[in-house]
Amino acid sequence: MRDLKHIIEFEQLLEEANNDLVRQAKAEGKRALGYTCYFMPEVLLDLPGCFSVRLRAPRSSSPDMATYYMSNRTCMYGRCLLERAIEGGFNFLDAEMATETCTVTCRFQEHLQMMDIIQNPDFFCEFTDVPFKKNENSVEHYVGQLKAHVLEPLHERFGIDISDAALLKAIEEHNEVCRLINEIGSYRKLDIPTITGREFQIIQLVSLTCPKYLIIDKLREIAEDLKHRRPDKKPAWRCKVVLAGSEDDDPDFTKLIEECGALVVADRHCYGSLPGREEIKVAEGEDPLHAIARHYLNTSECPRFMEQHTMRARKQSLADTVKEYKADGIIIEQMKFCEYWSYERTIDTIILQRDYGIPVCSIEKEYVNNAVGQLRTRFQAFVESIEIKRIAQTQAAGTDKAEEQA
Amino acid sequence: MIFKTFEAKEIELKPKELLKALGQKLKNTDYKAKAAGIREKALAAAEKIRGLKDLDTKKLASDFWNGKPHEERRLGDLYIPGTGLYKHREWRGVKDTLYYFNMIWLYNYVHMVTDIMKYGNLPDFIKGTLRYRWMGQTYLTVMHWFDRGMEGMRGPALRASAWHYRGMTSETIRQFQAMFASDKKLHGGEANELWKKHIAHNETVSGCIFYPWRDVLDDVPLEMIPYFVTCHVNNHTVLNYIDAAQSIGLPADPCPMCQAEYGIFVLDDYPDYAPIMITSNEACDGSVATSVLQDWFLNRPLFAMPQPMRYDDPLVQKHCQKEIEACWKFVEEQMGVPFSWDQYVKYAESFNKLTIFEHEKWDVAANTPYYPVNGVAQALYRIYYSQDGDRPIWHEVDAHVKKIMETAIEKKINSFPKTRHRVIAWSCAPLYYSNWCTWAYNCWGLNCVINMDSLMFDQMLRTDTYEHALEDLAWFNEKAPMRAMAVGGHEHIFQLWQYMERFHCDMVVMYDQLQCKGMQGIHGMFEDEFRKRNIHAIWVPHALPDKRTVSRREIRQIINDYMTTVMHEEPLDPTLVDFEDGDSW
Amino acid sequence: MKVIKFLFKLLWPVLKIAGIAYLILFIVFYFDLDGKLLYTVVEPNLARRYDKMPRPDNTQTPYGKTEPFEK
Repeated sequence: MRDLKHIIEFEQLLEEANNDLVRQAKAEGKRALGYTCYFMPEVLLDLPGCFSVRLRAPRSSSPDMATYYMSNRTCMYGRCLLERAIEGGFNFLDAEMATETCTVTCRFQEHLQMMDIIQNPDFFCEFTDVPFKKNENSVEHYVGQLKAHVLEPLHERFGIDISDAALLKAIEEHNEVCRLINEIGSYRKLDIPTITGREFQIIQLVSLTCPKYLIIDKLREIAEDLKHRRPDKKPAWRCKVVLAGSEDDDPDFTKLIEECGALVVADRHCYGSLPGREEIKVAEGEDPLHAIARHYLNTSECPRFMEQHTMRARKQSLADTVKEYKADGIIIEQMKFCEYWSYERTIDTIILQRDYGIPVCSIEKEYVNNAVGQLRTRFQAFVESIEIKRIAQTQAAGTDKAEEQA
Repeated sequence: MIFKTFEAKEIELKPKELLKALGQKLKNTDYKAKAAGIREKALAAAEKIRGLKDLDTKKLASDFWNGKPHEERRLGDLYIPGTGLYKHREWRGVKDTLYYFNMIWLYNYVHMVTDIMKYGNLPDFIKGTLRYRWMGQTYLTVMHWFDRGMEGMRGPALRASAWHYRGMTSETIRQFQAMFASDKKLHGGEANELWKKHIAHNETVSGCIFYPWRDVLDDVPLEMIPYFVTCHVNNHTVLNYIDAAQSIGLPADPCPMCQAEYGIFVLDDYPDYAPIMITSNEACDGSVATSVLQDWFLNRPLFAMPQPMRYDDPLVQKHCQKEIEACWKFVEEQMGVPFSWDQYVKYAESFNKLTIFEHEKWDVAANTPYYPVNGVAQALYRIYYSQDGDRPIWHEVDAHVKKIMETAIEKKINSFPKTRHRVIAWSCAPLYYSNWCTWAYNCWGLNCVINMDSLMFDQMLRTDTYEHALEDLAWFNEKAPMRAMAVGGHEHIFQLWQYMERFHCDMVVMYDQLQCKGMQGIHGMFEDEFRKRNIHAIWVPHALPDKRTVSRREIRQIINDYMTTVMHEEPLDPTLVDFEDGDSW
Repeated sequence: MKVIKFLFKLLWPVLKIAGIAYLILFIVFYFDLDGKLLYTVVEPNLARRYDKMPRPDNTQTPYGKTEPFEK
C-alpha cells in the first residue's frame, strides 16, 4: 500500500517524548502533564491551558542508573522511564499526574517525588487512588480522587479552569479525537484491512503523547486519506491477529509481528485503543466528572479489576474482539516482571483456546526489544500453525462436501 | 518402604533384599580389621579417661548444672551435616534442659494429640494427613521447628518464645481440623452441615472482618496452613506448589508466595471446606492477580474486598468502609446468617486486649534489655495472631508471656546478654529461614529486637458506635502485613528510621525479597539513605518461601561476610559460622 | 500405715513403668530420635505417597460464570 498521509511525520514525533509538537505547545504557554496509566483520565489533563503526555522512553538502551535504583528485577518500562527522567528527558513536564495502579510505575513516579530529578521549578507529582472495582462505590470514590488530586491541584498551581463547562468542552474535544481514531481503526475490521497494525499504533501513540489540538487536523486528513486507500493486490500477511496484553508502546514490536505474516488488527493493551478510544457519554443531568470517572472504570479491561464477574468477563471480551475484527488468533504479550499480566496471560492462554477455540501465542517481552530472533521464531511458528489449521479445516470441509455429493 | 540416609539418598527397602544385603555384608566383613578398629577406639577411650584427672570438675559440674557459657557451646557441632538434625539436642543446664524436655517437647507432643481431639476427630485428621502433602509432610516435624527457633535460648527467652510457638501450633491444629471436618474431598465429595457453616478467605484477609459471625460461622484462611505455616515448619512442601504454578505457564518471576498460593489449586491440594470465598488486594499486584486464578479453580461465589492503595488520604476511608460493608452483606446473603453487632463488639474488644499487650511488649523491647521474646517468635506470633483475629489461645499465651516478662523485668534478667547490636529487620522475611535471627544471635550477638511485619495492624478497634467501628476496621485492614509499609507512598517504607530510633536499634537487616517488585523498586533509595545516615545495613536476599533461590547457608554467608569484613567482629560461636543444612526442614 | 503400704504396692509398678517411659522419652528427646525417624522413614514415605497420588487436572475447571454475585 502507498504511504499513509502524515505517517512518517508521526513516526518521527514518536522518537522522543519532548517532540516538536510538545515543544510548540509549551512555547504557547501550555502546561505539559505526564502520566503513565489509562486510569489517569487524559481528558482531564487536556483541559484548556494544559495537555497530556503519556510517558514513553523511546530509543532506550540499558537503563543502568535506573537499575541501580530499582534493581534489574523490576519491569523495564518503569526503569526506562526513570532512566529517561534522570537523563533529563522529562524536564519539560510541569507535573506528573500519578496513579498507584501497578507497583513499578508507582515506584518510578515516587522517585520523581523523592528525588530532585525533573529540572523544572514548577514540577509536582500528585497521586490518585484508583479503585479495583466498577461498582457505584468505586465511581464515587474515583470522582472524589480525581477532584482532589487532579483538578484542584491543576487549578491551584496552574490556574486551569476546572468548571463543568471546561470539562464538557474537554470531553467534546476528546470525543472528537476518539471518533477519528475509531474511524481510522475501523479499517482494520475489513476482510482485507487497508491499514496495518503498525500504522495504526503510530497514530494511536501520537494521540497519546502529543497535544491533541495540534494533531486533530492531521487525524482528519488521515481519516479522509483512508477512505480512498486501496489494499495491495496480494497482501503480505497470512493471518490476522489481536495483540493483547500489558504495556506496549513500541511500533517496532508490531512491525516484527507483521513481518512474520500476522497482521495486527486489534490492540487490546495498555497503550492500545481497545479500550482507550471510546467516546465519553455524559448522561442527562450527570455531572461531567462523574461521567468521566464512570467511563474510565467501565471501559477499562485492566487485570487489576477484582470483581468476580469482571475478572471472568475479560476473557469473553477478548474473544468478542477476535470475532469483531475477524482475527485468526491472539498474541498475548506480557512485559517481563509485570505481575498482573503474568497471571492474566496464564489464564488467557488456557481459557481462550479451551473455551473459545482461539489459537493463542503467549509471549513475554522486554521494553527494549532485544530478543527479536526468538520472538520472530515464535511468531513465525504461530502463523504457520494457524495456516495448517486453516488447511486442515478446508480439507475437512472439502471431504464433507464430497461425502454429501456422493 | 523408603529409607532416606543422612546424605539425602533414598533407598527402597524390601525385606527379602534387605536380609540378603545384610547376609552379604556379614559375609564380606573383614572381622580382623573391625577388631583392630575397636581396639584402637578402646585405647583412645582409655587415654581420655587417664586425662580426666586434669579436668576441672568444678567447671564440668557448672556446665552440667547451668549449661556452658555462650562462647563455649559449639552449637554447630550438634548438627548432622546437611540434615538439620541433631546428633543430640543441646544440653542447656539441668533446669532449662528439663524445662525444654517437659514443658516444650513433651508438653507440645502431648498437645499435638489432645488438640486433635479437642478441635475435631481422629479419623478426619488421619484422612487429611494422608490426603494433603502440606499436612502430612509438615505436621510431624513441628518439634524441629521449635528446636530451630529455640536454639541457645535460656531462662525467660526460652519460656516466652516457646509459649508463642505453642499458641501458633494450637491454632494451626484448630484451623486444619476445622477444614478437615467440613472438607468435601474427605467426605465423599458431599457437602456436610459444617461445610455450609464455613467461610474461606484469602490468608491476607484479616479474621477481624468475620467477627460478626464468629459464634455461628467459622472463618478459616485458605492458604494460611497449606502455604504460610508449612514454609516455616517444613519448607520442602511448598516447592511442589511453586513448580505446579509454573507448570501451567506462569513465569518464574512473580512473587513466589502468590505462585505457591495458587499452585496448591493446580495440584488439587486445597481442602474444599466452604461455599464462599473472600479475597483482597492485600498485599500487592501479585495478590490481585492470584485472585483471578483462585477464582477459576474454586469456581464459587467470590467477593473481592480491596483496600485503597493511598491509604493516608482521608478521602479513601469512606470507600474502604463501604467495601467492608459490602463484604458483610455478601456474607449475610450467601450464608443466610444475619450480621451481629454484639458478636463484633465482643470479639473486637477481646482483640483489643491483645493489641494492648502487644504495645506493652514493644515498650519493654524498645526500652529495656529484659524483653524475653526472641526475634523469630516475635515475628511469627505477631503476624499469625493479628491476621487470624481474636481466638482464646492467644489470650492464654499472652497470660503466660506477661508473667514471664514481668518476672524478667522484676528480677532484671537480660535474656540476650551477648547482644552486640540491636537489630531491626525490615521488609518481608525469608519464610524458609525465619529462625535466622536465632542463629544470628548465637553466632554474632545480633539481637533482632523487632521486625517490620510486627508493626502492622497497629490499630485499636473502637466499639462505642457502628461508625467508629467501621472507621477503625478500615484503618486496621489498610495497615495489614506487608502492605502498610510497602504501599501508599515511599514515606511508609521509610518509617524505618523512626522505628530504629524508637527501638534503639543500631543495625538493619534489610530483607531483599528478590521477586517483590515494590521493594526492588526502591532498592537504590535505601542504599542512598543508609549511606547518608551512616547506618549499618545487611541486605539479605531471599525468595520468600523458596529456598532454592538463595539458600539458608548463603544467607548466613552474607551476614558472616558483613560481620567480618565491615564490622571486623569475631563470632561468639565459631562452629555456627558455616555449616550445611540444605536438606533440613 | 497399712494403707500407705498398700498404696505404695499398688503405685510402685505404675511409677516404675512411668519412670522407665520417662527415661526412654528423655533418650528419644536428647538424641533427637524423633527427628531421625521422621527424616529417614516417615517423611520420604509420605512424600512418595503424595507424589504417586492421582490428581485431577484442575485446568479443566469450567470458567463461564459472569453474573455478579455482589448485589
